[in-house]
Amino acid sequence: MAPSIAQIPVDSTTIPVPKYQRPQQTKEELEWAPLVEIDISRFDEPGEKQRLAAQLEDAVRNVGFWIVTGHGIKDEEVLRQLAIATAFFHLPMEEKVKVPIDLGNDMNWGYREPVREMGPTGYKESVETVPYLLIDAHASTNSIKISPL
Amino acid sequence: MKDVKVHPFVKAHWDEIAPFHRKLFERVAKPLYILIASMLELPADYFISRNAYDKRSEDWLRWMMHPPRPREYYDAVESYGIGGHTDQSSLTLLFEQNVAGLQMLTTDGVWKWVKPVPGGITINAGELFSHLTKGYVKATIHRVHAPVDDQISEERLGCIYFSLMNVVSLNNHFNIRTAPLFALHLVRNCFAWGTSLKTS
Repeated sequence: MAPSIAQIPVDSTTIPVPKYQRPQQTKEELEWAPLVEIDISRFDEPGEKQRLAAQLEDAVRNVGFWIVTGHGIKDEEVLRQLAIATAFFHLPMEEKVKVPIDLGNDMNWGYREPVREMGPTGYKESVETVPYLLIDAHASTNSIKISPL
Repeated sequence: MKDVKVHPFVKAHWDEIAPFHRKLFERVAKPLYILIASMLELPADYFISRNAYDKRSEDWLRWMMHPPRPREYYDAVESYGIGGHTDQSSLTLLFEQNVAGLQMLTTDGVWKWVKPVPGGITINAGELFSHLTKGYVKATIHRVHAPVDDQISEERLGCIYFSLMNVVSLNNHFNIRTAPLFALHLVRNCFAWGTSLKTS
């Protein structure tokens, strides 16, 4: 019998990262929260901070959510990050669990497998996470270090 | 400093992930800290100087994947999910991927959907910021809702940046100790169900 795909060993460091394409937005009529959008593209111009602060104040104090545009991060950069994350989750499970999350041991960089039982439903949770990609500014590929919490 | 075990996949892409993370702090979080400081009539660098990214950033990035599930799954597990919660961050940055799921609780007590805005980054404030400003900054309750019918077969990917300000600086300036709380209470409750935790 031919081996199934899952049995073929994968080298996660060289696996290709396919382009990420966002799914279509929903066409359903949903009750959307009206959120303030602030455009920070002229942040350093005179008077702009005061104008933006005034625009944002209600959102900060009463709404708690808002949208930032004009931040200068290109969509292709965002899509590339989403592509990398997706490629990780598409790795075979045995590959993903090689570095599991270990919060109790300060080893927070790992993968958390969806193992939690959802009450008595017979289902397990579906969400998978890599919860702690804590980034140190001085870290490099060869030596990723953080100080202990 | 100590070495931390990193997944080989993450390590392989580190040179792209780390600069992106840094950019989020510089281009998005930093301007917001400046604006909120100005609302409070504080010096512009008041919050940034307490973030001290170069010394020891507490900011972190989180990837989440909700693979597609049938409607029966969502109906069955609805009462057992995390439900409404606030973040423990000071600011949370969320990248849109178009699959509707995020809902926020409005001041009227009504859940409303957070709409994806092309090119926009969705921001919400968390408990740390609310605490430091005595509630001036609102940490709003939000939740992830089951997908709607025309997106139920889509994967829902989350790429979330949590900015926390620097705990070491906070200890100096505010004399509060946040780390044990994060390690033992909030982190466990929010992120670690079902894992074997060593809390001793």
